[in-house]
Amino acid sequence: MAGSPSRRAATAKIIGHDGEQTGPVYKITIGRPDINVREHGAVINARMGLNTWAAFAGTDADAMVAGDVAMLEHEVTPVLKALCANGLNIVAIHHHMTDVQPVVIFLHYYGTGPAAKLAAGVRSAVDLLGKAPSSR
Amino acid sequence: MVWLRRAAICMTVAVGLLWPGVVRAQEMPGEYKTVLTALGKGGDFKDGVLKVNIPRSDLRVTINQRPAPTPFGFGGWIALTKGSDGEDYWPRR
Repeated sequence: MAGSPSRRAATAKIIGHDGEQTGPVYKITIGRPDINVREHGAVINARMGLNTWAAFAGTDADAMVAGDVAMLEHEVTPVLKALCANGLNIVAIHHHMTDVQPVVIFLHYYGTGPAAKLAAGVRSAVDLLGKAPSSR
Repeated sequence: MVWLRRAAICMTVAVGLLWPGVVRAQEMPGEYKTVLTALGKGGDFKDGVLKVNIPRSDLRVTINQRPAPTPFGFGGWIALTKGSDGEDYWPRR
């Protein structure tokens, strides 16, 4: 099962962050402490919605993943390419917070397949976050 | 208490963050306990944020005919935190 202790540990290791098991779902939430966003003076931290997450369910061989990626603008295209290259479907790209600097864009994704492959796909996107824009 | 009504309004049923899981709760401010009472929901207080999940466990969602669990984003949530002026704010999502 995707929710077995061994699978949870394997998924956490691949993605580089621990998660929480809730029923059949193992969910990893990753903050963006590198992004300092405030609204009306209130700090918008991971618990206020500034986070990337990945929720896994199913079996090792036939898992599914759904999640969200919190990105700066220059991260959008690289993350899109990484997720697509790993067979993960892009479900939505949108804003949640408006009139904040820096601009934060959220991307939802969904995919099915072997749990380890899905986790590797998520990791490929996570690895792109928090890096300076490359000169193109 | 206007902000209480605003908090109730900010419930969003969207693909969003759910189930923060078990966290080590800080001492919850009394006013946030009042919020939970007003909402009739449980919540936790950590990192200066009151968080209340509103899972749509009444829904049976499928993706390509495959059942999708509620924590895949099928629910709303409310978060409250203090601004620099002491007022409470919630994220617009």
